[in-house]
Amino acid sequence: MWILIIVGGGVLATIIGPLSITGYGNFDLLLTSGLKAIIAMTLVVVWIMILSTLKNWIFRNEIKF
Amino acid sequence: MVELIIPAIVSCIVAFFTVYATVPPLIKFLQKRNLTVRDVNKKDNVMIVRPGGPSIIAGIITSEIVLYIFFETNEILAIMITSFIAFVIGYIDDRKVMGGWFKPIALAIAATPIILLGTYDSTLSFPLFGSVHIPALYLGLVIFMIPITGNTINSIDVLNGIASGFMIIASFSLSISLFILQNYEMAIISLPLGFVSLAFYKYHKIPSKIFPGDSGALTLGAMYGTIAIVGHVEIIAAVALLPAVINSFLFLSSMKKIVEHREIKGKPVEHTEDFKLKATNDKTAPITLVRLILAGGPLSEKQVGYVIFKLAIFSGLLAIITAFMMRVSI
Repeated sequence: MWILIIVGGGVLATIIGPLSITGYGNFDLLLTSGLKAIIAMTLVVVWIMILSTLKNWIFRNEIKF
Repeated sequence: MVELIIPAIVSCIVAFFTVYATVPPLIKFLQKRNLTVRDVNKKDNVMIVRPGGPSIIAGIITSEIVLYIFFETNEILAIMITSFIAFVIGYIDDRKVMGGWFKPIALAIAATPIILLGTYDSTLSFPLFGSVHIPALYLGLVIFMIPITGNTINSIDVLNGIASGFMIIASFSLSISLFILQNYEMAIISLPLGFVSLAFYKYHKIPSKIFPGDSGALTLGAMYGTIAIVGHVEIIAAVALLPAVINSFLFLSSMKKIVEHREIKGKPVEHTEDFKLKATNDKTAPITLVRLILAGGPLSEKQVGYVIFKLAIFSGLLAIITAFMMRVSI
């Protein structure tokens, strides 16, 4: 989970961070922010899905509830 | 640096002794009013008073007032107001059974002082990779952070001494991380949380004399979340809280919805004949951290507590390593 946080942070800071939308005047900041928010939320969903898969895998193989 | 030592020492003493001195009269007061709940993990019909929240919030407010006299920063006001609102929300839930959605929504409202006082920075810092400016997303993070930390601490408060003991480890890890990041003022502002938890642990540890209740657990969690935001150590705070986060994640992913503990029919844990804790095979019961720990075999309440504390120490160390990594850029 710690590694996923650091890797996720890396993706956010290096790929999504520098993204910017231009050409829409006053809406540039709003659109850029919205785009970053959507990508970040998608990443969080992916992160949860990975954790869910890991959890199910651990429960199936190790614990056998 | 020297001028910070006196406020640090005074606030820590005030935080510790306010809780240490107010809990015994609070126990007597709650006993007189018969505000008790059964300790389900004890063999005999042991009744424990609750909530201990009033003492916890008293310790937080008095120590932060001391710090405000020295520093006069909005960050301290944000911590005090948010923690107090969380306490009120928890106290309402202690006295009246509220629905599963009440606490998350009400705690989101508790986060508004952080925004109104302008004590947040829209830049989120990550270890190794630097920071990212996310104004719109960060507002969402502020609103979500307090319900997450509040409910996370509340959901781990299932055995004697766990919530307060866990908070001692997590909050001191956060304070050490703030010192590593040379954010000395915030590190000192965060110290009372550890000392309040330490003083409360004396009465909460096994066998408990008092339970924190929702008012206590939410107050501790909300203060922790506020420190994470105003101290700009969100990622480090999340790492230090990992065992509790895993507990909430397992719970939510197995129940598939936000639900109050008292509404759950299936039991995740049962007792053996010698009253050790044992994981059940009940498929309707939520998967929790305690159930996961007990999957290896029955353990006493004290042993489960030690396993959780070991996990908390491990996460605390990871948080401190993360703080060092914050100072490195690749």
